Amino acid sequence: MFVLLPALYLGSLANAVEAAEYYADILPLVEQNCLACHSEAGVSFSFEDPELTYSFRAAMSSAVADDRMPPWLAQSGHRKYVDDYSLSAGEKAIFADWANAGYPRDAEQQELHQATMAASPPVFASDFSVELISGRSFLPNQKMKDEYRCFIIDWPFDTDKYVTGFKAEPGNLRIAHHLVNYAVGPESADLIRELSADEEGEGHRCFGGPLPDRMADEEERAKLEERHPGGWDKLRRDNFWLSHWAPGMSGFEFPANTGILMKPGSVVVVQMHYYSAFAPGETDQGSAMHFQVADTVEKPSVNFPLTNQAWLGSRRNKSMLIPEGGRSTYQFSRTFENIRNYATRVLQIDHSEVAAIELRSVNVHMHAYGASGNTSLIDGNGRKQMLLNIPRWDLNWQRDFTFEDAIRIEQDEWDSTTLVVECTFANHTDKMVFGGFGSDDEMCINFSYISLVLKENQAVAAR
Amino acid sequence: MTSRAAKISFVLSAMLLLVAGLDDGRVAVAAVSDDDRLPLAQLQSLGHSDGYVAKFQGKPVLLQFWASWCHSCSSIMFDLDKLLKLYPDTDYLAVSMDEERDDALQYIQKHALYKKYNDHFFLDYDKILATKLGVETVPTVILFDAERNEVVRRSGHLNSNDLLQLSAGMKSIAESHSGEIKK
Repeated sequence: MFVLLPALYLGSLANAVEAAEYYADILPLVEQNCLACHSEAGVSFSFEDPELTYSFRAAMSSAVADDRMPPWLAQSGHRKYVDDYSLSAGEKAIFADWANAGYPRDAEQQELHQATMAASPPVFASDFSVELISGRSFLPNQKMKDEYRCFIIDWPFDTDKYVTGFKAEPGNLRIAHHLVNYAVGPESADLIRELSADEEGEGHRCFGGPLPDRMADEEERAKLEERHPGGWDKLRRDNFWLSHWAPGMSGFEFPANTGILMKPGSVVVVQMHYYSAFAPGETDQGSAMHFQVADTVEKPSVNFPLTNQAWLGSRRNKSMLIPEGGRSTYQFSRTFENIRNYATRVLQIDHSEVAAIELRSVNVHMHAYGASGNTSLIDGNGRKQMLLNIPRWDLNWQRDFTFEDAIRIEQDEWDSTTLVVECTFANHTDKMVFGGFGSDDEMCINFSYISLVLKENQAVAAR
Repeated sequence: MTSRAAKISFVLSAMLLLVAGLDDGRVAVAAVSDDDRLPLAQLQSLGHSDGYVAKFQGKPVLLQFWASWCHSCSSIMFDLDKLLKLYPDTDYLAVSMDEERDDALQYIQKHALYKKYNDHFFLDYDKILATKLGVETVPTVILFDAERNEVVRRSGHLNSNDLLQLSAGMKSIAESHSGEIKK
């Protein structure tokens, strides 16, 4: 008996020590990982009042257990990504323990918790700022849950510049879900301006990228070809992913010593994803875009689009079909020799100047029928290295995944090393889904930030 | 009469009367079932048709738990609307988890699709239905067949896989129902 009692006491003490409690264990995690979005200044309902937040305890724990929140799509265990705000296994276990214990609530802690994600962002020095639809407003289509609308910014510089950083300030966070900036080169700038101007209202509808949705229609493309022979093909190839913003992101700088080339006469097409389903009737009163630029960078870079261009014409060539009520998986790969060729063409650098390629980021881009996806690297011996695995795709939380450490591919590996993107789709409708540009079509693309390491490591001056 | 006694009295009345509208807009749902498949619960109408739930009897039901603060709930309405058009024999019931009835009512008036299904919206009085069904988060969507058996349950924002499972469940129910009619 005398032996047993201390043992029981110690056992209960251990349980008491291990049991997660609200203020001590849960709230710090909420403040660090949730407040950037769940706050009055954020995009979703606020977790700034601890007592009110406690009322979400069951929903919060369920979302954490199912990996729905925080909305970080990448499976852990493959690579370390910059700004990874997912919860660690240990942090998830704290939530699980707390839920299992019946959500115990300890006494409120008096010290001020620091909200890492919601802390004041670092100062972002902009070299070029512009406000979209300045002085006007845009009301997204109210009959759709999402609208992807593109607005064109004239690039103001008359010499080559490298974009090295970006910050967005969306005009209405209740409807601005995310945005992607695409650059369109000077030879195609007038074409995209013309196509955009043909649509009623501000900007043009652009679900699948910077180009108007209506160009998915062969008749529309034929009309363009009549006016501008070869124009569609040129436009389709002469655009690339420049930068993006998603909730929680402040201004950021591209990886050190890198930048993306913008030629004089280019335009930036800002693809705004408006999410009107939750806030019907609300307008965007003007979103601000800020860019950092440099005249030179040590490692010129591009966002390489890894995709099968044929998929975009699937209604005609049947290359991407997702049958009604079924699933399909598609895969595409390119060697680093192909990637080098693309990068040197866009950056206007001779092949012979490139010593090595640095792979700095990956993502997977699909539309609403996307179910899962991944991007991997296969070396010359057939060994596969998973770079990004998204087991549960969610269109709403797509983003770029930048590696903490770049992967360097040496010259003698370019022709044998491949980058592979794979997408699995699920079609719940009663109609076949095709690859294409439209909102009812599908895509499978990986955009990777690729930096070129130049021989003699010379910074590339603007030409 | 105490509140608890009133509830018991209400439940018993509902079981006897199958479906009954109350003076304050509360109605019982699935009163034909007194088992745990689709439990008897007390729901407060957010629409205006007390007798609406009577139509559920003998039909599959798509039950959605939502809240006025929930972004994903408003978004998946667009997907559910398409599925309900595809399988019109499936009935739809939207149950609000809002603490305040006015929050739910005001949000319904803002959202075109919520207004479209206005008669299908209810408040889960004392969270009885959610508790019985073990629903902890919104959105949660549960598909029941005509015999009140749970066929599919998905929680959180629905992606393409979730929608495929839901539509496959609705299709399977519709096909088996049509087979029974032919027999």
